[in-house]
Amino acid sequence: MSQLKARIEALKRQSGQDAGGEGPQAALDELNRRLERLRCGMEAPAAVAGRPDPEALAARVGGELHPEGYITVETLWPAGMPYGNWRMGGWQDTVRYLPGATGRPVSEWVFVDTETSGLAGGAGTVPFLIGMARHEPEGLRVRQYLLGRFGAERAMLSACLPRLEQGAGLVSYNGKTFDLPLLRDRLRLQGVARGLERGLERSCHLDLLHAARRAFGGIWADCRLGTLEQRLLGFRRHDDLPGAEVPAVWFEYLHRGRTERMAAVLAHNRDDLVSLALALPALDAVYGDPLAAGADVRQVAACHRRSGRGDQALTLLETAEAGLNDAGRLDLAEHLRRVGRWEKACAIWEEQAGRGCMYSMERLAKYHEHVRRDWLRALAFAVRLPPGGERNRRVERLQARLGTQEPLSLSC
Amino acid sequence: MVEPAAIQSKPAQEDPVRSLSRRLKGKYGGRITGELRVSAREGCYAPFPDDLDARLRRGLEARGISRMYSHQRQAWDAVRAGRHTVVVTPTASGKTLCYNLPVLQDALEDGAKALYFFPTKALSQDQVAELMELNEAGGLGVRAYTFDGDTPGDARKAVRTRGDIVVTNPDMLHQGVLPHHTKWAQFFESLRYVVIDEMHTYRGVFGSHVANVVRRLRRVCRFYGADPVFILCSATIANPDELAAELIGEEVTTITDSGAPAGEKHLLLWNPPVVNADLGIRASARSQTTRIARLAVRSRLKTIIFARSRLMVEVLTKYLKDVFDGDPRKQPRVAAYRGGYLPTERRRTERSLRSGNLDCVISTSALELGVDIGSLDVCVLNGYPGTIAATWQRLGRAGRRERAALGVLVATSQPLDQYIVRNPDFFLGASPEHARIAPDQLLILLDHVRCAAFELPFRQGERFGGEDLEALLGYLEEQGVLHRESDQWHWTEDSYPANSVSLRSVAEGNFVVVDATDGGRRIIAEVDYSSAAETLYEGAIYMVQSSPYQVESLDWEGRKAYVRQTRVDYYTDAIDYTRLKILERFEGAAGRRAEATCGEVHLVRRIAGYKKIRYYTHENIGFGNIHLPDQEMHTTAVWWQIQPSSLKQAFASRQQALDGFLGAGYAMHHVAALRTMAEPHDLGRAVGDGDARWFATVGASGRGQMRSLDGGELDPEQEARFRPAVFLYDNYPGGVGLSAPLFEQRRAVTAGAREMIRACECEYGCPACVGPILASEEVRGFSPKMAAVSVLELLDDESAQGTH
Repeated sequence: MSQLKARIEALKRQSGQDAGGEGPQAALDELNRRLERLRCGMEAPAAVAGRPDPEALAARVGGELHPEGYITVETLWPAGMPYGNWRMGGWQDTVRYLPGATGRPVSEWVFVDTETSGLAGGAGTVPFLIGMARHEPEGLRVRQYLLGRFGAERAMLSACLPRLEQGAGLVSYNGKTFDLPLLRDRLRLQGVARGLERGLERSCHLDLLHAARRAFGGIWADCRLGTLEQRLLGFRRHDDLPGAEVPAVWFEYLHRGRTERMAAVLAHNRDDLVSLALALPALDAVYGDPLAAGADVRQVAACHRRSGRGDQALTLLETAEAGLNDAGRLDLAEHLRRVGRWEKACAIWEEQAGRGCMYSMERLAKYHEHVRRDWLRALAFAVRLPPGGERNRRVERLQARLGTQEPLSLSC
Repeated sequence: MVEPAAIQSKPAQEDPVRSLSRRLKGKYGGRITGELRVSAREGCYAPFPDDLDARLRRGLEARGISRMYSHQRQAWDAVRAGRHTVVVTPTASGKTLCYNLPVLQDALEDGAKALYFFPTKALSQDQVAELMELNEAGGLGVRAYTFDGDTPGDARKAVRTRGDIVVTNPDMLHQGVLPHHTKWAQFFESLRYVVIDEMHTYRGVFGSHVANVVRRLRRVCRFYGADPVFILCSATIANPDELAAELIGEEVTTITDSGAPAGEKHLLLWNPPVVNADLGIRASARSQTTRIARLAVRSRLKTIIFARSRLMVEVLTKYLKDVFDGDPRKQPRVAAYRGGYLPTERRRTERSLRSGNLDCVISTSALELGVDIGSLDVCVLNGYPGTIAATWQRLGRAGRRERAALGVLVATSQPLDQYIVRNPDFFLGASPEHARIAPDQLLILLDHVRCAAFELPFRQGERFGGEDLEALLGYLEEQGVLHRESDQWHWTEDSYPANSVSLRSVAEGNFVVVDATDGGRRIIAEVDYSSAAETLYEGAIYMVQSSPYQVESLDWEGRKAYVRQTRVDYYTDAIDYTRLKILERFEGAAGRRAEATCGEVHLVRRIAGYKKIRYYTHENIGFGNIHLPDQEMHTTAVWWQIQPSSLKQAFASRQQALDGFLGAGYAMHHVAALRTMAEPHDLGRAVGDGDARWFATVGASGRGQMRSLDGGELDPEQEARFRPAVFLYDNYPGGVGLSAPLFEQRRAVTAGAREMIRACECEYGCPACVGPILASEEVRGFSPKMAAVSVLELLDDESAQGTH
C-alpha cells in the first residue's frame, strides 16, 4: 500500500507537478528565503565549491584506489631504522612481562589506530582512516585504509576486518573506549557480516593506554601517546598535524575536494602506529624492570599479581624495597605472607604498627593467633584494634583461649 | 463507655470535605457563582482475557485485582490485535495497566521489548516502582530500568542489553538513545511496544519536537527491522485521536469510556467580592485563595493550590507560611513546588506529601502531571488555568482515592476568569480543548532532520515530515552540514547535533541562577530562555521557596544570573514593549469599514523597565530601567484594522480611538485564547501600526500612549498616517500553528470580546473587560469601555463579506 503511494508520488514529482517552474533549485531558494526570515538573517550558508575526487586523493597520498572507492597505502619501516632511542626490528622478540600479552612474539600483534570525523561519538561519527601495523621480518609494515567516498565504507570495513582478526590480538592506544566500539558500531551500521563482527568482539585486545597509565599515571603529567613517545621512546615529532584538526581535513576534502592536508593526516596516523608498535616492547621492558624505567613499582607489581604472577611481583618489590613508600611496603609484606616468609613480613608489619598502622596490627594479631598460636601476643594486638564486631569477637575468642574473662589492659 | 460513644459519634462525623464545602457555601454564598457535584460512579468491569499469562494473573491477584476495568480490557484487545491505541480516561482510573499488561504478556511470551517515555524523570521513576511491584508479586522476572541523565555510566550497558522495559523521557531519547542507536541494536531489533504516557503534555512547541523525535525513533526502528505498536495515554482533551495520530504519524484506535469507579466531587466557582463598584475592582484572587486554604488546612484537610505563575506560587507560599510556619523549630507544613527548583528539592517535597508530613503545597502546572503525591482532599485554583482540560486535570489532584473531594476555582480579575465564573454553564458544560502541534514547523523540522541525518544517512525518496525533504537536505548541504553522494546525504560536521536542540523551546539555552551570597557559587534554579528577560534582569527580585534573592548581574551570553539573598518588602514586575512589522499577507477578509488579515510578521520585544510592588498593599513603590538586548522573532499573526474614514467618523479624537483599540485588544486576546483553545501565553498581543512606525501601550497614566520605535512618545493627532491595528500573534518563533485557527475564528473573537465587555457590570471599564482604567475617566466623561465596544462593532463589519 505505502509502496504504491510512494510510486504515485514519485510519478507525480516526475510528471511536472512543478508546472509553475518550481524546479528543485526554486524549492531550495524558497526554503532559504523562509529560513533566513525565521532566523532574522543570521547564519548565512557558507559557499561550497569543488567535489571530492578519490583519484586525486589517491594520487595525493600515494596510495592505490580500489574500484569500490577506498584507498590503501602501504609503508615499510625497515628493520634497523632508528626511531628515537629505538630501532625497528626484533620481530621475533617475545613479550615477556606485559600482562595480557606474555609468551607471544610481537609479530603476532596487530596495531590499530583510526582517524575519525569527530570526537563526539554517536552514529554520525565515521572512521575515515583505519591504520594497522605489524612487525615483519623486513621491518614494520603499516597498512592504511582511507575512504575516498562514503559509499566505500562497507567495502573498506570488509577489507580491514580479516586483517584486524588475523593476528593473536589487537593493540591500541585508548581503543577500548574509542576506536574498537566505533568500529563495532560501523560494522553494525554497514551490515557487514555478523560472524565477522563477533570475531572482532572475541579477539584479544591490549590497550596500551591502560598499561602506560598504571606504570606512569602518578609520575607523568599525562599519559597521551605523544608524552609516551617523548619520555619512553625518546622521539619528538616535527610538523605533526594536531589530532584536533583531523576532522576538518576530512570535511575540506568532502566539501571542497581539497586534499592538501590529507597526506599530513596519514603521516600523523602512521606516526601513531609506529609509536604504538614500539611502545609494546618498550612497555614490556618497563614491566620487566620498572625501577630502571622510573615507573611506579607498586602499581606494576600489583598488576603482575593480578595476572597470576605473584613471584614476579615479589621480586620487583624486594629489588625496589629501599625506595618503597608505606603502601608499597605493605604490599611487599602481603607478598611475603603469601609465600610464607613470615619473619620479613612481620618485621614490616611491626615497623608499620609502631607508627599506628591498624592494618598491620590486625595482620599481626592474625599471625600470632593462627600461625604462632601465641594467644597472649595476639590479644595484645587485638585489643588495640578499632572497636567493632570483628575486633570484639577476636578479643573474646582469645580471652576464652587464655581462660580469662577479665578485660586485659596490656600496654605495648 | 466506648460502645455508646462510638455509636453516637457516627452520625455527627460528617465527611470533613463535605463539611468544609457546606461551611464555605453558608458563609460565602454570595461569592459562589456556580456549583457542580459529580456523584460517585460505579465501576464497569470485564474478566481477564483467557490468554493472560498465568504468572501475570497471579501477580494481579496477589495485589487484589481479580478483574479488569472495561477500558483496560478494550485496550488489551486493541493492542493485542496490533493496533496503535490511545487511552483517554480520568486520573486514577488504572491507565497504567492498559499498557503494562500487553507489554508484560509479550515480554513473558517471547521476550518482546518495550520503550516507555514520560514527560519527566520523576514520572519515570514512579512507573518503574509500580512495574516492579507487579513483577515481584507475580514472580515475572521481567527487567524494567529507567534510563535518564541520572543513570550511572556503568549501569547503562546493562540497561541497553538486558532491559525488557526501558523507561525514559523524550529528551533522553532525543539526546542519549537515538544518536547512539548502534549501541541499542539488540534492543531495537526486539522492540515491539512504545508507550507514551501523559500524551496531552506533548502539545505546542514541546509536542512538535516530540512528534519529530518519534519520527526519528520509527526511522531507526525500521533500520533494525522493527515496527513497534504505540500505546498512548492521555488526560481528557478534545482531540486525543488526532493528537496521537500526529505524534506517531499513523491512525490510532481511541478508547475513551472509563470503567473505573470514582468518588464524589464538589466544585465551586468563586468570584471575589467587589470592593470598588465604580471601577469594578474586586478583592484579589490571592486573598480569597489564602482564606480558603487556611480554612481547609485548619480542618486538617490536605490541600493543594495551583497558581498560574512562579511568582504567584512564591507570593502565596509566603502568605501561608506566615500563617502556618511561624515556628522555625517545627517541621514546615507548607511548601512550594515549581519548575526551576532543583530535582532533589522537588523529590523531597513529593516524599513529604506522600507521607502526609505536609498539609499544603502551592504549585504551578508542574504538579498537574501524574507525579505520585498521594491523596489530597482539597484543590484550590488561584485563577483559571487557561484551558478547560488543564482545569480538570488540576482538580483531579484532589480525591484520587475513592473519597469525597472539593475543588474551588477562584477567579482573578482577568477577563477570561470573569467570563468563566459569570457564565458557569459555559465552563461546566464545555468540552475540553484541542491539543495542537505543528511538527512541520520549519525550524523544528530542520533541527530534527539534522539529528536524523546524524543517526542514519538520508536516502533519496525517503520521507520525513510534511515539507520537501530534499530541499531541506539541500539546504543543509549548502551549509556544509551534509554531504551528498549519489542518492544519500551523509553527516559531515564534527558535532553532536542533538546536544544543540532543546525539545522544550524553539530558542536555545536555559539560564542558571547562581547564588553568590557570601562569595558562593551555588546554582539554585534554572530559567528557560524565553522567560529569562522578564525574570532575571538586574535588580529583579527572584524568589525561591518564598525567599527573595536580588539579581546583581546578568550574563546574557553566558546564560547566568548572579543573585544574592536579600530582605525586601517588595517584588518586581517587568514592563515590556512590543512592536511589529507586517512581512507577508497569507489571507484576508475585508468589509466596507474593516478588515482582518492573517500573515507573517516581524516582532521586536523590549523589556524596558520594571515596577517594584510592595507586599500586601500592592502599591507601586518605584521603577527601574532594564538594559537587555531586544528579542526578535518572526511569527504568524492575525490583525484587525478599520478604514481611516470609518475611524474618523466614529471617534471624536485619535486618542480615544487608540484607547478603544487597546481596550478591544485586551478583551480580544482573552477571548482568542479561549476560542483557539490555546493557553493565554501562547498568544501575544500588540496594538500598533502595521509598518512598525509606531506602537501603543498603556502608559503609567492609564491612558494609551503612542510611541516611536525608540520609545519616545508621539502625538496621535500629529501623525500623517493613523491606521491602528490589533495584532494577536503566535508567541513562538516561526509560529506553532495557532494563527490559522485564530483567523478562522476571527468573527467569534470580535463578537465574543464585544459581548464580554457589554456584559461586564462596570461602568467605564475595568480589568475584567478592557483592562485597568483610571479613576479620573469618570470625571473626564469618557468611557474606555464604550470606545472599545465601538472599535469592536466596526471590526465586526468584515464578517458579512467573503474572504479575498
